[in-house]
Amino acid sequence: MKAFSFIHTADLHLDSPFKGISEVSEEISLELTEATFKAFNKIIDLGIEKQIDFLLIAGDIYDGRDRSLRAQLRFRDGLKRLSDAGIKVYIVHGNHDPLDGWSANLDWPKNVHIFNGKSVEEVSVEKDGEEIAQIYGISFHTRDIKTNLTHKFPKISTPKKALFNIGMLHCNVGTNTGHEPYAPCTLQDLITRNFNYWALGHIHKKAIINENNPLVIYSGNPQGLHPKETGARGCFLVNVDENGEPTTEFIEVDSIRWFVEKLSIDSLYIEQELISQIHNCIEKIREEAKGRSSICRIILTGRSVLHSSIARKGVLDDILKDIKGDEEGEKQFVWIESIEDDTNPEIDRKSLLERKDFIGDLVKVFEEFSHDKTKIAELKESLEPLFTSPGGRKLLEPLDDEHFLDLIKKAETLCLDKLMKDEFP
Amino acid sequence: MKFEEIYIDGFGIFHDYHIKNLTSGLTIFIKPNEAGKSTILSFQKRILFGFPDRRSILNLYPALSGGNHGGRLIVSTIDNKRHTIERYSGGDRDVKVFLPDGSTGGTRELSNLLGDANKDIFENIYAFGLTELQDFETLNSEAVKGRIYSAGTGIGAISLPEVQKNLETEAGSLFKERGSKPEINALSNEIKNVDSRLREIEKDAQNFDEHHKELEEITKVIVNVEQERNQIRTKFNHTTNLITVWDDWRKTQEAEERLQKIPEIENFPENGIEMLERNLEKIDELNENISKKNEGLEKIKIQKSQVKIDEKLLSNEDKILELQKGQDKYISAVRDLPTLEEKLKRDKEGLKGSLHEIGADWDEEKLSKFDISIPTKEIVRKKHNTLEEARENIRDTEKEVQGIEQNIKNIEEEIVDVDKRLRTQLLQQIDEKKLKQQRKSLQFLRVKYPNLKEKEADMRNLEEKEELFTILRPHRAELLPKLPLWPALMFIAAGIASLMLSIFGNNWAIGISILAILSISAIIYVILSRKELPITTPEGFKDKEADLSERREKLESELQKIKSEMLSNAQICKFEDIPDSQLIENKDSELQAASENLLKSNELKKQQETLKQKLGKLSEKGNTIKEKLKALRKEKEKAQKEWKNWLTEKGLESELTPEGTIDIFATIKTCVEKKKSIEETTVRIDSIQEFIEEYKTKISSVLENCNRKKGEINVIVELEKITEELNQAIEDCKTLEQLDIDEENLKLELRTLEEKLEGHQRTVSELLSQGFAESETEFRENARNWEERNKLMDETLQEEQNIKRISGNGKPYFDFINELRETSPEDLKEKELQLKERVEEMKNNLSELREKRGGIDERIKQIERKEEGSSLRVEKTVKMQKLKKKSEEWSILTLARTIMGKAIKKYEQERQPGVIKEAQSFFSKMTLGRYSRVLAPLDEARIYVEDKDGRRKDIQELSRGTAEQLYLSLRFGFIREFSKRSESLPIVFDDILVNFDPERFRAACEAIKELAKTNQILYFTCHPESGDVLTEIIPESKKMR
Repeated sequence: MKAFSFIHTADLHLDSPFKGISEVSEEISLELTEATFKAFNKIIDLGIEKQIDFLLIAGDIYDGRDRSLRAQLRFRDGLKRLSDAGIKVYIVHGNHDPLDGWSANLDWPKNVHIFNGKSVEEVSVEKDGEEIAQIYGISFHTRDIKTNLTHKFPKISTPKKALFNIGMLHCNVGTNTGHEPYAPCTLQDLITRNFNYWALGHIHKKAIINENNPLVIYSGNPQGLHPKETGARGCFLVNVDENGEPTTEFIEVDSIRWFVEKLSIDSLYIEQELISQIHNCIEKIREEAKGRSSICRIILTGRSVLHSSIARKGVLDDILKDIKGDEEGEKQFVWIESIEDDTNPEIDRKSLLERKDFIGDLVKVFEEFSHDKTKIAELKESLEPLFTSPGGRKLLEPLDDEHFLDLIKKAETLCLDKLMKDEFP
Repeated sequence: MKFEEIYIDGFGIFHDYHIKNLTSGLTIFIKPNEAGKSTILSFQKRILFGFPDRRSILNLYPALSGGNHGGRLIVSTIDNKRHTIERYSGGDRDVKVFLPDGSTGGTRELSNLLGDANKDIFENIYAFGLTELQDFETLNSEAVKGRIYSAGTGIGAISLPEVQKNLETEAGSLFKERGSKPEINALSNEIKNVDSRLREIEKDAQNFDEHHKELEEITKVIVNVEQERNQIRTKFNHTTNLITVWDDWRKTQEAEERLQKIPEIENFPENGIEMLERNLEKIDELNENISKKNEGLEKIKIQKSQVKIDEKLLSNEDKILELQKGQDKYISAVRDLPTLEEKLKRDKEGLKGSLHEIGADWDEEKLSKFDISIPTKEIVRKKHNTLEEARENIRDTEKEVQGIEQNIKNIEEEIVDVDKRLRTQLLQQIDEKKLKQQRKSLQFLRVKYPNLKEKEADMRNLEEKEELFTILRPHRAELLPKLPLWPALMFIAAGIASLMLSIFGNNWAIGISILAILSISAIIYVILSRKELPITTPEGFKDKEADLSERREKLESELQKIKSEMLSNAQICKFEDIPDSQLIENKDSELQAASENLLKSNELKKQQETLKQKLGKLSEKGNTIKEKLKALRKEKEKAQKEWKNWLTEKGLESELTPEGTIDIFATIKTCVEKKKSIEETTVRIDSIQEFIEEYKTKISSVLENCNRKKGEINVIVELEKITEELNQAIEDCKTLEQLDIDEENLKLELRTLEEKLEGHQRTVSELLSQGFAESETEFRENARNWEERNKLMDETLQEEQNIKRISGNGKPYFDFINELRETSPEDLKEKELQLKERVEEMKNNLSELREKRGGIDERIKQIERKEEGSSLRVEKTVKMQKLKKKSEEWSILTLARTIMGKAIKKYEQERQPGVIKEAQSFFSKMTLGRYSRVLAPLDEARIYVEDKDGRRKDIQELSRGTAEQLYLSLRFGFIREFSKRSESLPIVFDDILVNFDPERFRAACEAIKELAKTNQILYFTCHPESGDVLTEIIPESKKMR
């Protein structure tokens, strides 16, 4: 067999917006809108540079619901570049871009093969007239596929093992992935097909879930779009030698990287110290991002006297504004998306509970409301005016218990801040 | 804190007013109305919290009785430290606090003294009158209310209602159920707007697909229409082609018809007619040429017969030509002869004149004899030089004689001058010998003089010694009389003498010192001579004495000898006595001058001698030169004589100078030349005459030979005539020769032409046979037919080619021809028009379709270019995130407020604030147990009371007195509660109990008693009985009037 190489990517989510950013400048906004395209183009560049034989895209190229024509046009342009370089492209669609979803009426270049959604298709790949691989794949014909699609794949018999067999699927392997359970299956389902390589999509965090025989890989998304999608993002470059042995290499292609940094105020006493800590944090990120721009959420934790000044309305906003101002115009910017205050005053809550005054009563009441489920339900009602309002219903996610308890805790801190500012100036 | 003293400098009616000895408990001030109770109360407030602004409506209490507006309070703290609080309205109006350590403080120190109490609290709770008590609002002041309600809550001065309100406001600024401004409401609206914009863009995407479908459809239609149009266009082109070839086709038809009518010829030479014509033309031309040549031959024959030649003349050709050459010479000889003769005559006369110029007797003979050669000229020149030289020498010698004479005269003058100077010199002169002698003697004197002086000094020494010996000889004293005095005098005299000598020798010092020594010696001598000295004679004394006298004698004789020698020498030098050294030196200079004089005169004598010798020599030389002059003059005379002789010998004037002779030489030379010229001219005339004769003879002989008659008039004319005839004869000869040659040539040409003619005639007959003709006419006819046939065939071929070019070869061509056969041009035109219209129609249709497709394409491109969706989606997620954050904030605020509310309820139910508790206790006592409870909900600015039956009443429902008692109780409660945590402050009441009934009055007094345990109280009243009751209940109180 001839040696060959290919790139495995998935979840491009072209033109999908970044989530979890509450404030953005026009300039940064422009960068954000370009980020997914930049990452995609880097993959194309990489393919051309490495002279790969084909590119595999395992679903969720774009979000069909967004109806972004731009995403599809830019996708087509990228594929055309590959076509011009004689590189083939194999695509299965996922839950975000199912075949029955909206897709612009575009002519795909000739080198592109899109797997259908009815059954598993088998396509053989040739190199210089010699067959090198068989690719099996199936697209999501519709969004809500909750059935196990691996059963539709054939089990490869020994004679066919002479070729390199690749399975392409957008699915959810295992149960505890934190992603929606589209096309659920188990690792065992995949292993039993006797393939050499499973190119999977859907899970945004890159993962090699089976290291050998077959290689089962989630390439992850090439561009993190959410504060939970921190760290390097990219695609897998796979080289298959004459014996059909694959070696993989993860290549970072993200153009903007997400960071979530926790910053303890335990040993900080004045605002200036905090600002300088944040600046240090920014520089650390800039270094880690290796020339990329990045977005960072800073979560302040810990207890110190600094808490009360942070808790004052507008203080964090002002600090954030200054820092953002510094970053605007930076070629490699570190955009502090928000600074969350999760700090506490330097007080011993236990001693508060023992107090016989109003503060003692207040802390006790908070204690009761944090633990009593009926009282929690009662409290939730107080928030209904917002959450049941037309806008709230439509735009706000309902609060889960964990989140709600967090809010109660924050409310307690707020009350103590307001009532005890004389005690803890 | 308590007041120790109050000092009012100037405030209202008070001036320099002291209140001292205030107790730490209750002090009652009983004063009538307008005695200044309120003024003192206000004074305290103003000293502690400042004076109101001058524009304030409050009573400013100006210092009506004088003094500075202000004063001081002396207070002591719980630890008994005294502070003075001072404030004046003038100046900086700031408070001054004089601290116990002597330092001065301000507001900060005052605030330390007052604890947390501010102006509001102090005025409303600590220092108040009936008005404030009755005014419910005073308790409602924010600071007071907050303090009252929150006292004991553990939140310090923070007001719970305020916190609650803040939370509500903040939440309200984030979200309101009905509203658009709060942030969340606004954000929701914004998101709605973004959504609607996104929907529009989605619509675009939908349109994009539709446009694509439209594009596909229209493209299909266009392809179909294009196909149809192409078919019609092909038909149209075919018809057009048929029309195009119609004429060609017609022409082929006609050509074929005509061809059939023309007879066929097997062959015809190419360019036959042309060639025939060319040959015939040539034949004509040659015939004409031949006849012309024959004519030429005839002409030459006639010309030849006309030429006749004189042979005799030709035989004399050389002679005639020779004569002709000499013709010019002859003519010029005849012309020059008279001129030459005339010239000869003139030259002869000129020569005669020139000869006369040299001398009257000069003729040609003499001239020929006279030698004017260069050697002769040289002789004249030498003679001239000799004479000039003699003259020059004489002149030089004369000049020399004159010079010598002048020199002699000069020397003679010099001699006279020297003589004069010598005579003057001789007058002073001394004899040289004598001078020498004198100088020698003087030298002697100079040498001997010091010797003499030395000897004289030795002499004096010896004499002194001798005298001493005489004195020292005692035994001789007896023998001898007393020592004489003269030696002393001698000493002095010798001293004076040496002094004198030293003066002469310019040696004063030595002289004086000698005089002094000698004088002392004289004195010693006199003293010694007058004493009776012990006389002892030493041994050898006598010997020495003898020796001394011997030496003295010897010295005397030496001295004498020197003196006589010197004297004789002095006389030689013309001194009378022995001269001293000065005189000697003077004489020496004198003698020196005399010797110099002598030298000078000797020199002058020598000079005189030299001059005399010179003079002698010059006189001698003068005589020699004079003789030489004489000899020269003689020589000159001789030369002159010789010259004259030479002139005579040459036959020239004896008076001529050599220079004049040289001039005559030139004239002679001219004459000689003239003579020569005359001789030459004569020779030339002779030769010309001879030539003329000879020439004439030659001509005559030639004429004779040629049988010509000799004319007498002019030989030249004859010659010219015969020459001309000769030339003509020669010319005729040449003409004849040329004619012969021409004749030969013509004959040759004629032959050639005839040959050519034959050739052409042969060609013509060949041509005729090739063109199948027997005559030229037939040949021409055949040619015409041949040509026309060929032309028609070519045309047909050309037209067929034209048709094939359009139709194509083979079958299409034949189909084409068939089609042409079956139609007419009119039909074709009709068909073409119809097809053209169809094509136009479809073209328009197509451009419309294409335009439509372009429009759709552009719309697609427009949609493709739109990138707003991306930024809108970013905008939406950003806003959603913000909304999420804001709703969290709102939730936190709402939760905080809700839970706090619940905590307040709990607190109110389970714990009343300390103030209310204390107030409740006071109120219960004051109302004698009628009311048992005071309630102050934490989140309400309201106070409720409950009577002993548990009935809750609002303040409005209470009587004025009871309400006043409640307010008083609340104030007391606060004071109590406040005192627990900070410095207790003095309390000032201004007749607050007036509305109380006696029972409740007493009860209130009991309460005051209670309060006085912790706080200093100043109670102002105008009711003495009130004071009495208070004193009764509180015996330790102090009354002041």
